[in-house]
Amino acid sequence: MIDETKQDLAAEYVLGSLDVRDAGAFEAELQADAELRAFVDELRESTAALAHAAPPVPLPPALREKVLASVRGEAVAATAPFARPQPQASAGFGFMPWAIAAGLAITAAALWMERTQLQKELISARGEALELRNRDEFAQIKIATLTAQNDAFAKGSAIVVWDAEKQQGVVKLAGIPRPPEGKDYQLWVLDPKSPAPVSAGVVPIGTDGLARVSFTPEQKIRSADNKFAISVERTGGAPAPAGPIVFVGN
Amino acid sequence: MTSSKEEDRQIEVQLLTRTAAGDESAFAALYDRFAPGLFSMMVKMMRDEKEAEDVLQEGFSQIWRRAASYDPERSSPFTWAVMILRNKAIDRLRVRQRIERTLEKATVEFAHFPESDDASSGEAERRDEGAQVRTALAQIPEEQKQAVELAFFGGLTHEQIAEQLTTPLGTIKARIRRGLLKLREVLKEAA
Repeated sequence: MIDETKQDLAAEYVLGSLDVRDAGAFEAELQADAELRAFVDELRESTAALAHAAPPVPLPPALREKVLASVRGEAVAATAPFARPQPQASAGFGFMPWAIAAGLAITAAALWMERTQLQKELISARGEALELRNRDEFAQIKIATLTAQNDAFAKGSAIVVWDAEKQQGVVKLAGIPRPPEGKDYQLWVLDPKSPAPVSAGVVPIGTDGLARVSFTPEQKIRSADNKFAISVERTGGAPAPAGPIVFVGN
Repeated sequence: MTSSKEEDRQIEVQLLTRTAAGDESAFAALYDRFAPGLFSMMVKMMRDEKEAEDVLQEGFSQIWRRAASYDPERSSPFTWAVMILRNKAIDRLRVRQRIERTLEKATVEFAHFPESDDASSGEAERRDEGAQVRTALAQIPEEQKQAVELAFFGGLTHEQIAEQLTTPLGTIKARIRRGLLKLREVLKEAA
């Protein structure tokens, strides 16, 4: 019987809510408890079924080729196919001589101890990695306040928050006039290591003059000394900036 | 488990076995089976189709690279794929949360921004495979369903859900546990 505290932990583990240290400790428990392992497997199965509850969204047809091209020629991992967890102790040795059984038991105990030690070391290493990650959490985040380039945008504000390590950012605009008919605002990253500005996508403005958009640039940004710019481009965005730049900054 | 579901599972296990051996056509067949459902799930999690595409691509690359580590005794191939993609999505959602927290601080420091509303997605016709899950979800009390969905699709930790719903952590843990157990029970009965 699995008590409620363990069931709570199992739910958190399956949903990815546990931090690295607790997840490592729970994994160590799973290795030693077949009933708990079976419970977690069942819970994971029914939890994953929730994926079917998402409203259907048509899959972009071009994505298939993109995905297949990304793995083409890439070697698969060299792990043995369908590696299984270590078998648990069996109920008896049947015809095997007791001496061999005892020898195996000692070896198994030694392996178990070694593995337990390894698991402890792994949990500790994961904890240290987590602490390091938390310490450096904000180290690679850059905040850019962009400056209006003409009077029509002087009352507007534009801020970009950029995580160089994750290559993700958010742009937030306020007090911006709606773009002219047939035009969109487009965000660019000016990377000194790229020959041309890198598109970070269009920024749709609400009727209230506000926008808040997450972005990932179309190419990797390699320089830490990059700038951001917003220009007015044709609807849907342009491959290279052609329209007037309305904000720029770093 | 119904026989057609069992057959599907066997086919998918075979496809993963062949993928683990570097068979690109098997990988393409897996993509055709899983990508439509996984993409919808990613859009619901990321609330952004472009980001959903990026996560789907990263997730399938990982499926390709890690196919050999799949254990058919621990989960179905679909569950295994869902968990890989969900972990990728959660990584991104957590980065996004961190960036947005920084953005909020920057907003206060550098400019005054009024609040803007997030666009909410509309209801759409759902797939047949979802019928069982929807029926199961309909049998779960609303507060349990809300907590389970915030955890599964929102990628929020139990602590974050407790904070968001201003409800004690113990209550959230109990709601999620009961919700998932109920879901498991109803899906088992349906199978």
